[in-house]
Amino acid sequence: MAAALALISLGLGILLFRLNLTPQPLLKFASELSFTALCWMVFAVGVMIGTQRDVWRKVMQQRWKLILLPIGTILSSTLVAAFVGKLMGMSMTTGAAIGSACGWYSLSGVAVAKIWGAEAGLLAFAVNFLREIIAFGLVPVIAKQWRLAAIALCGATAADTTLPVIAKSTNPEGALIGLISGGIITASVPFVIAFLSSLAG
Amino acid sequence: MVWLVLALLIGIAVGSVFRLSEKALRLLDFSVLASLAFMLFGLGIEIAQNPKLQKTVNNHALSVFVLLASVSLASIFWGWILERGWAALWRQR
Repeated sequence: MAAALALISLGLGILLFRLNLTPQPLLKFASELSFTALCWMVFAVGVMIGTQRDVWRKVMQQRWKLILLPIGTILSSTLVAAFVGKLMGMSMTTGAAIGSACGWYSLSGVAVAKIWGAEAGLLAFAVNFLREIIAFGLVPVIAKQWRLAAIALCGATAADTTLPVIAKSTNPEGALIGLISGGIITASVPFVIAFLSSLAG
Repeated sequence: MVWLVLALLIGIAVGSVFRLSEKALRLLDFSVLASLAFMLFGLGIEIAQNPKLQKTVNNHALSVFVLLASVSLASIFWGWILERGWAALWRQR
């Protein structure tokens, strides 16, 4: 249900704008209203985590997986994007930088443009932005079978925008794992991009 | 980011300190779904308003699609391996 709702809401926003049916105040404050809704969702997820007394103990039982999930997500995205980028005619560091952002489009767009040029920056922005969008649609489907796979798909966004979807599709324990994974990825991405820029010379 | 961290911490504190009724938790759960719909509606408007994104997707459709598919699949594969264990690779055959 969450997946269908996510796609319908997103599509409705685009459609109403294209048909010029979006009310003017909504158009002006779309970004602020979205952020307020996000803050409320993150607060609600926090309440759900807080009410589960044993959630921290359950999450800590995951031990090494808690660290391997974010590290592996960054490494797999970076390495695969490096090779795929090379096949598409980019330099390996450009592809790696695009993949290493793990969905953090605001940072990757600016950072990649500054180091690898405007075109690569736009590509980084588009790929990472669309990664977040497809996470909204796919997480509810994937999380039914493989919770960690769904969290890995969200990448850095698991700590903010896609956290409510993870919480809705799994349980408070899954939300906390997502929060930790997304937090570690968010903290690591600037260092990975800085490292890749040093390789690019 | 600061606001989100603050919202989360306040939420955890509220959930830990106050014993919320089942009805209140259900209402909160519903509010998450309603807020999600609202947030994505706003995001849809932002996408439609962003000509740069559309231009990039149109001009570099293949690169965007291939990179997006490969990083997404690689991440899903990593999560799947962690969840099922390396032995799952051989068990699948």
